[in-house]
Amino acid sequence: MPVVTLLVLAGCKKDDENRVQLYPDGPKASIRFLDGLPSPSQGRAGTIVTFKVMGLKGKESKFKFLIGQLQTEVMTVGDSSISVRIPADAITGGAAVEYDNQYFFGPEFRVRGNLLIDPSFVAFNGAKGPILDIVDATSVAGSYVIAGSFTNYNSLASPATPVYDIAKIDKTGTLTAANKMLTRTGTEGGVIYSITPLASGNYLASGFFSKYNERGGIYSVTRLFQRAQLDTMTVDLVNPDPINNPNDSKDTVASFNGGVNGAIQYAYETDEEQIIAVGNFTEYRSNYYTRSTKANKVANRVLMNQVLKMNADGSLDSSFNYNLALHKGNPGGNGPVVAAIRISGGRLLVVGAFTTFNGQMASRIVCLDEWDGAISTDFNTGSGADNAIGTVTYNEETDRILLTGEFHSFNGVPANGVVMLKPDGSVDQSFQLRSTTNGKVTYAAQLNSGDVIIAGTFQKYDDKVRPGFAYLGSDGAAIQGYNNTGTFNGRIYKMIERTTDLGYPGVILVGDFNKFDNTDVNNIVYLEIRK
Amino acid sequence: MNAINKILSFALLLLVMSSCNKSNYQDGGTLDPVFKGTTFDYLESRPDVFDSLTKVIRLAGLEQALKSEEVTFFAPPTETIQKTIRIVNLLLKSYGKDTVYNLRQIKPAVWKKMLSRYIFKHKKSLTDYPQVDFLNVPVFPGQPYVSYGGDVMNIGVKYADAGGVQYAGERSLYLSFIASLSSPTTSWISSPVATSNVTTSNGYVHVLRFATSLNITNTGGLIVLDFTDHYFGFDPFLFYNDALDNGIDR
Repeated sequence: MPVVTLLVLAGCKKDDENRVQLYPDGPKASIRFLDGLPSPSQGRAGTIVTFKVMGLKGKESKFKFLIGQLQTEVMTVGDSSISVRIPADAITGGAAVEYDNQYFFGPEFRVRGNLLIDPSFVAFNGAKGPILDIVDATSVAGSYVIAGSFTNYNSLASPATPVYDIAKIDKTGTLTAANKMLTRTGTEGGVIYSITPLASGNYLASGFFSKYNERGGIYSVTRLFQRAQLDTMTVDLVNPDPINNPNDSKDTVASFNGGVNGAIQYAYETDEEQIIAVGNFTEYRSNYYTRSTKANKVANRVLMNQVLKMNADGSLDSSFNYNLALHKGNPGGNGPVVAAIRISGGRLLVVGAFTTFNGQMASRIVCLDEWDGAISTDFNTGSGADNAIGTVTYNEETDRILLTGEFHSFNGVPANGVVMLKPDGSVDQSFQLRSTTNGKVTYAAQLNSGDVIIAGTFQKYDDKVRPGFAYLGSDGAAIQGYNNTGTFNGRIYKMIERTTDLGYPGVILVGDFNKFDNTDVNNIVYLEIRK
Repeated sequence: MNAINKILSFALLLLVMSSCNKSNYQDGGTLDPVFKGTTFDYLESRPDVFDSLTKVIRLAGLEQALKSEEVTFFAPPTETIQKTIRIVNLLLKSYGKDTVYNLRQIKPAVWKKMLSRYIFKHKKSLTDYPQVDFLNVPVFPGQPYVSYGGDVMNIGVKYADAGGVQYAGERSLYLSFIASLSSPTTSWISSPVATSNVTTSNGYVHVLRFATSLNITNTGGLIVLDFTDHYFGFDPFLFYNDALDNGIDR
């Protein structure tokens, strides 16, 4: 012990305490925004706004002052403040100073425009996971059913009333209290791409799943009652051991006995109450209960590609897209199907990355007759798209189709990834998408008024900063006064129009996004369009 | 207990005395951080780490900038480029398209745009950059700089804690891509520097860290990436979009 003490003492000699500073102090910023909002903190274009910022005095004409990445006119520079005028095309966004190849970011200024998030729609916490479809609820007017791949909605799920993949919301964007969906477990790792109201008032859920509410034996499509319970029936089975397991001679199964071996992107009910499903699959499947045991269900398998029609009980309609001579479906597209939509005249529009369909030339788009699945002759797209098509939307009111994708021309007409078609397949050249910078348009849809909304990964539209979202006229030009929204971040999958409480047109957007107008949102937002 | 203490202290004394033998100590000198040559020469001298990077620099036509201009270069190692191409191929495959097997197939404009995010027209070492605290960005934001290609990138030095004292520990450099200028403090995709302050005749090289595993989960057709790893161009989906937009050669 004394030795250690000696050692410690020896180590404490004064001249060893030569402290070296390992790192010099870090540099300090020459320009600094002070705490606090600008005054005023929001306003329309032309407003003069004062920001609190240090270090700009003496650097006049050497720096740029930006709001939402748009250079502003500097009015006066003080010791700790600067006054600027908001330019005409400004968007909601942060202030910034660019000086000597450095950026200094400041507080946000909200530019008020005619397009704004409706505050009465309280879906602030939104869905925990993407919403892929929204439709009008069949039971209650003004309510909607959303479906997708989420595990909670507005943080309202509880162990007693869980929310999985499907929910019914009212016009304020919250779960309907009286008419809740009884989901229990949803698709368990699966996803609902499409929810379709049926004439009976029930819903058809389709997507990519093998289970719904703990009930297996489902092939990506099933029918749900109005409150999302699975439509079931009891069937007789073969029971190999009736003495020990008397309960195995019957089973409760989904009453829609049909489906596919892959994913269904889009499904709907025809006027004859039959189901048409479009997706990426190679087989139709149903369960053959007469020869099944409880543990081992025997599946009927029919080779069917990408498009098929089923009867209301789930059985295959062999008069649709089916070759009776070969006893299998037609070959379909030579590439994946990405989306589909029903258009006027009882026709089905299918888009994707294929170049032939059922052996015929079809450049990434094909229109099928809903009656027998034959390629429609009154829809001609000529040479079609020169690259994959990603989305398709259709407005019944204007009878126009909007496509987005990776193409650069459509039927010989230059198109920067978005094109509008007439119901006969010809390009509607009155709509011209302008240039986009640093990204693509991933969604385009026309409103009943004729205006078009686009969203995507672009940062600029028509050389003006429009981060991810733009509101266009029917000619494709951004309408001034409607394009002051800040950053949109994500992807829109579906929209549905609804008049706001104040009587303005409005639109609910759903998808997989977390920011709209530089405000945090969760996959659903309701916009008011002031006129 | 006392006996053990005595033995221990004796052992310690023995250890101290024996280890302090002068002849066993070899002075290796201080490590010379200066590379004799240009930034590009340095990258070429380490093909084990920068093989693909030098190829990309040549494809992007930025060789001269790294040879003669005064620049600070955050070097993304080969693995980051490899991983990004793998994701591009995964996406291409999912759309039924041919994959990329040669870096030359992607247009020079894309390489230039992405590579420019790593080059800055100044000569700064770790100590020349301000502090960044990712948990307290409003107070320690680092400093956003305009990169060689015009993109705004944030550079900052993270001060680690040491012995319970805040910011007293080792410092490490971070390069962050500001994905959205509209939310300049919350949209960062950050990449840590593994080796800083390699001094060359025309600037500094800071080598970015890379992960060797490809953390991709593909659930129901949706590709989910682990953004704690660095990808070339920071966002591989944007890289894919740009590559496709500009056309991939066959």
